[in-house]
Amino acid sequence: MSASVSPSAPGPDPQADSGALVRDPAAAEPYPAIGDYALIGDCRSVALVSRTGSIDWLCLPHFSAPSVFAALVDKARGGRYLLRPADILSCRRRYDGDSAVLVTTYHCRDGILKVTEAMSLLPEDSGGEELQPQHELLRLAECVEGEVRLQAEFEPRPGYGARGVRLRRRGRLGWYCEVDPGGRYRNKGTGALYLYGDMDLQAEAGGARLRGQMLLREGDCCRLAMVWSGNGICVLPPASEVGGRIAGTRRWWMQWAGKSAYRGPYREAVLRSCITLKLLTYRLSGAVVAAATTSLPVHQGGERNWDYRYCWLRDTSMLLQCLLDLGFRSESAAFIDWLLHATRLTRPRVDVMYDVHGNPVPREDIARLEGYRGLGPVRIGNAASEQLQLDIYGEVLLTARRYVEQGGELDGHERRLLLDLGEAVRRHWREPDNGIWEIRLPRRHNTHSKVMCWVALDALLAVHGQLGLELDEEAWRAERAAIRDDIETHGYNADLGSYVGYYGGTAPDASLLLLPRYGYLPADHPRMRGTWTLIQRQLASGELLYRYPPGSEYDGVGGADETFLLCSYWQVDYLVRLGEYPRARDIFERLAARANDLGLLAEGIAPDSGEPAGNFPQAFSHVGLVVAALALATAPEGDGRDSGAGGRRRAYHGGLAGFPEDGLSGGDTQAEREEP
Amino acid sequence: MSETERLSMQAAMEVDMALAVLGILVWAVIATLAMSSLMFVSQFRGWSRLDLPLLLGSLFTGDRESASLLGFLLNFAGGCLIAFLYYFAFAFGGSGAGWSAGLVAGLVHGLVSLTVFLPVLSHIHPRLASEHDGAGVRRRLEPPGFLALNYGYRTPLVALAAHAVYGTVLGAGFRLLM
Repeated sequence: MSASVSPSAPGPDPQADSGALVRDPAAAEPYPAIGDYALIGDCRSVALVSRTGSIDWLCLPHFSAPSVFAALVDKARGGRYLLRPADILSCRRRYDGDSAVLVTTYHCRDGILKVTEAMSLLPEDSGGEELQPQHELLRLAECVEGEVRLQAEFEPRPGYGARGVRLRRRGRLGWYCEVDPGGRYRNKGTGALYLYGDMDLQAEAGGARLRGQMLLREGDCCRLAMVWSGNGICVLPPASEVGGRIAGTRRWWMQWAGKSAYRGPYREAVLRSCITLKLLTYRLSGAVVAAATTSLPVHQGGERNWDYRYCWLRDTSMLLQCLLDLGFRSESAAFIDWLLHATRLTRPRVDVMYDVHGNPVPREDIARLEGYRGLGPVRIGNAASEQLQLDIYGEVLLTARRYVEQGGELDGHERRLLLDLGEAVRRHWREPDNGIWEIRLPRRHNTHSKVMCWVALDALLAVHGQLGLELDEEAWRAERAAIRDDIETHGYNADLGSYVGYYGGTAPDASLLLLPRYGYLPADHPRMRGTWTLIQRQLASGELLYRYPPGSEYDGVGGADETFLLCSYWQVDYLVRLGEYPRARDIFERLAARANDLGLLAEGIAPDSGEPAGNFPQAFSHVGLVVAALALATAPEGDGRDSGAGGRRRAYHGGLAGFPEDGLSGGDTQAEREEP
Repeated sequence: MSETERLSMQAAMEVDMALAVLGILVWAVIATLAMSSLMFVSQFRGWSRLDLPLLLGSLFTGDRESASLLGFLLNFAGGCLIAFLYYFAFAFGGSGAGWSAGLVAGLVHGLVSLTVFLPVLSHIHPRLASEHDGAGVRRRLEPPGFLALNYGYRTPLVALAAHAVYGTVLGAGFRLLM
């Protein structure tokens, strides 16, 4: 056992930590709360690190590959990688600046330990001339006061816990094992893992697990590197570089975050959301996964366990619209490239979701894992990939519109793709679909989907106005008007004074809050006000919002639903458009308080316990936060009641197709003519 | 024999020689492509992590893309050059060319590569780490180990199979030339 002294570790003094103090995390229940996890990653995969230093979730070589560590959904079988002091009294944690480098400070009985961890991402100017590993997870433990006994446990369980490994010693190179997920996952996550560093580890259980301990005194440190290679020769940077490589990773993130043009309120929360969204972006293709995990339950005893580790075109489009507003343009260009690639076999039809490489999502399967807190099933793959969700076309075309409006250029193939998507909308908008919430009932005419078809054609016409596409403008305008007529006739219930979730229904749907955002009609339109009132009456629970009436037969899935953070944030966007800034700010701040101590958001909040629920962290929720903050950035200081002459409000033009100050809807004059 | 006849015969011999070299080169390219393809497929399928182009290219550069490209060219050129050794071995070895002779030669070639070439490479390669000394700032590439088993337990089989294919193609091809 050796201990190195005074490494070049990044980050300020641990005394300056600002994260929440939590007492006695070691005494926590066997499964940590979902909000107890932190996220680190390298924009190809992510690891979830518990407050007590256990990496309980990591899939390699990418987000939707089979897991290597999955204790998150099965503590006994999943496998984990633990590094923590033996006697924790309390801990604080934070991200190091605007980065995804995690710093956890443990207060122990006899000392204080700081653990800095990251998956490496190095700036181009720091890679030097040397080979870099495919994936690298770095952990640096430093004793900053007294003495601390550090313990480690390393137990990879490939293939969602289905397979063991045989760890072998390779001299001074460290410990090594082949990773073979086996079965149907054999070709998706085969590779090799190395673990090496300062701690002397011993194999247990026939090489299935490593354990080690070492005593660190003030100034000592322990460096550990885990390196993965999928199908090539492993590259093993020396352990002495761990501190420097973490510092390089921090610099990479700071450089990336520095591109943000956002200077509005709640900057810290917005930037943390952007970093989280970037962590969920597969940088080799531009695809963005909906969440880092699979099957974290929405509700105890329900069936709502889904695999979100795929790229939903809707989610990605919404995300990129945000990133465009924040000045991150290269991500949008990458997404459009990826979209061209992904849809090459299905155009003009687009699938609901793809894997990070643009391939179809695998059929749904149940892994032999007990599930988070025993609340299985653990699903791999997603059956919703076979659904028809017409709103996707609108989101994708909106992204293209925003991209073009911000000076992005489209080549001939990309223009053709947009026209194909528009053509698909013209052909299919009259059909029923499964809608934004992926309803697993017979298809129906979802109002939001119809609106998004309108949005698709509206966006295409806007792009045509900018770039001059080869389309019959009058015919497309007529089609757009026909969609609006259809919505106003069937999607609005005059008795309720509100739009409804689907034609012929009486229940509201939170997605209808987006109508003003999409430029379909102004927020203060009587029909929209009526919709807002009905949504508040039937879907609100404090500052939180359900997607649709809970406990109803709305979605055909058993078990109760949770409040949905994305929808909750949509309230803020709507209220800003309405000019009700104080209320918007109040809701935003109460929602922001629902994030964990690191600013990470799950899919929703369990109404009974108030705990984060569902997959974590969820891109959609962070998109909601950014959308809401961008809306609030346009609000005047103070309560805003006296802003503007004659009581006129300052209109919010941010985000998508803003509406003009006279309150009429639409991104162009035709939309005004169509206004109901 | 007149001077004219002698010159004519010499010219004919030179043409024959050129055609023979061309024939050898054609079969060398085919055999090298077959071997490289098999190695690539086995790597892609996860049967072995042996990446010969990277291993060769990283002799000269630490940039992964440059190393892979350079290594591919070196590997290809090496495959073509070694084909000439096969040709001379078949021509002067007594047994003549044929797929079975090629198969045996390929297996021997593979075995030599695994037991001699890779171990020697480990010692002279500036970027290969060693189990004895550990990884270094520059020496950070996983070493092949005995029979290249560090790159997966199927690696010796894959390497032997790839060389066997190489030898078989050359043996069968050269039989047509001889």
